[in-house]
Amino acid sequence: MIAYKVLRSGSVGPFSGHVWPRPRDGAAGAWVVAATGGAICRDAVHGCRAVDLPWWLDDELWEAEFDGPVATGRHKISAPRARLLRRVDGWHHAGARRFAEACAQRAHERARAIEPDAGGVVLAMAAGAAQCAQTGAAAVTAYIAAQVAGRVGGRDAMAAERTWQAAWLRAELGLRA
Amino acid sequence: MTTELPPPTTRFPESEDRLVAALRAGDEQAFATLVRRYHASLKRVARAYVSTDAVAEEVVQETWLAVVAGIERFEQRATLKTWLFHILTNKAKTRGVRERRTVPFASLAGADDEPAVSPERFQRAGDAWPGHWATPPRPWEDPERRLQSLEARERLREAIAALPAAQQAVLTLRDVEGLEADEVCALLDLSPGNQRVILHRARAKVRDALEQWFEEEAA
Amino acid sequence: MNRDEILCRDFVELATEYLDGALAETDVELVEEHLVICSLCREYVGQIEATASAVGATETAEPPEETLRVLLGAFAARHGRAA
Repeated sequence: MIAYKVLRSGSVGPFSGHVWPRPRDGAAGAWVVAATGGAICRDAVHGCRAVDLPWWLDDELWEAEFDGPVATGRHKISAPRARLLRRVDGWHHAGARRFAEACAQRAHERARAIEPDAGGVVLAMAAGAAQCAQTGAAAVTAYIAAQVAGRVGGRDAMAAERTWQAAWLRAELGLRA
Repeated sequence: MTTELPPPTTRFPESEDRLVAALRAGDEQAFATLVRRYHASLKRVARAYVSTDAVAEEVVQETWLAVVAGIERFEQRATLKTWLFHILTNKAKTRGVRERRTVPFASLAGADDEPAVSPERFQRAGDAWPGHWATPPRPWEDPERRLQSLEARERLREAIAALPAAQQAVLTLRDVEGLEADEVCALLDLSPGNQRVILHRARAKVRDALEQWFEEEAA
Repeated sequence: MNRDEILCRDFVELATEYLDGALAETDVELVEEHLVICSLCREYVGQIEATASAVGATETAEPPEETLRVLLGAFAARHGRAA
């Protein structure tokens, strides 16, 4: 199954600390195989589908192949092994920034709509999102935007915001999987 | 009645085989090393079962005498360390029963409802982000190096000594002696959940003390 | 436990279970979703780890000299050349 792997700078797994082998000369990166009995990694390698990306965003976004029976969690997938196929270049720096700003903008508009005067709690949340967006902190901004949507419009609105975020990523980054 | 010990998690390091051989050959230096190495930890665990330091000391001495008598018969199915603590906990339990300490081990861990971090450190309903940090932990700069300082280590010792006896026992077995969770559960007759709660409370309290130290250093 | 989100106040109670790999898979995922957006909880769990590690490095207190003497005597009597 083709899906996505989110990594820190240097292709480092955010929870495992594992350095993922990068694709080279057109060939996919080497397979990363789950270590049995690893305390935190459990017995699987993790990734996510495009629809899950807003929860995990970090420095690097990679298209990856997941092999073997793929299990689906809330917002992630796991498999016995996986390898990096190609980097989603549009994400790095500029893409992350644009995404974060888009989320912050939506949060601000939602907040303004219910708190037309300054000083409201939701406006303050949205302001926090704007601050995070300035540093391109994509996951945090997306989270705040979802929380703002939830405060304003309940759980359905929160889910809809996440769906919008995932759709933005798919469209703007040309995601194929 | 002996409890069934879990199988050893690692192969014996070469030095353990040598140590056991030396002990069996009557090497006093080896025995002295063993006593020096484990006496304090054994005492901390004993103290969770009995009423005073003095009684804990007696239990540990009885344990060493049992080691003296039993080392020839030690079959190395478990590690030397596990075997030591197994003898210790059996003797401490017996002594605790004789002292009529019927309070179960787990309830000695400290108030059951006491959370690891004070609730005041989190935002409440009505705050901007309920459930999120209100007074977050400040980052520790260069913790490995700084925690090696004399002062930090002194604070650490004080913090451990100030813990309830059961928390000291679990913290000692897990983080000082490096035993695995299931070994500790078997030794102390604890469920995995209870064992983790006790360990976490202990670590959280010690973390608090170290946090204070870091804050003082920064001031 | 059936929940949608793990917040800071929840996570600080679960940190040791998380580090031990003892959390149910669904809770692991909730923890990870939280850690992605919360540097404060990442700092907290790092401090718990640093604490455990520092505890592991504490020197052991020596037994009283008298105790050691008595025990060595018993050992020598049982196993020593004098026996």
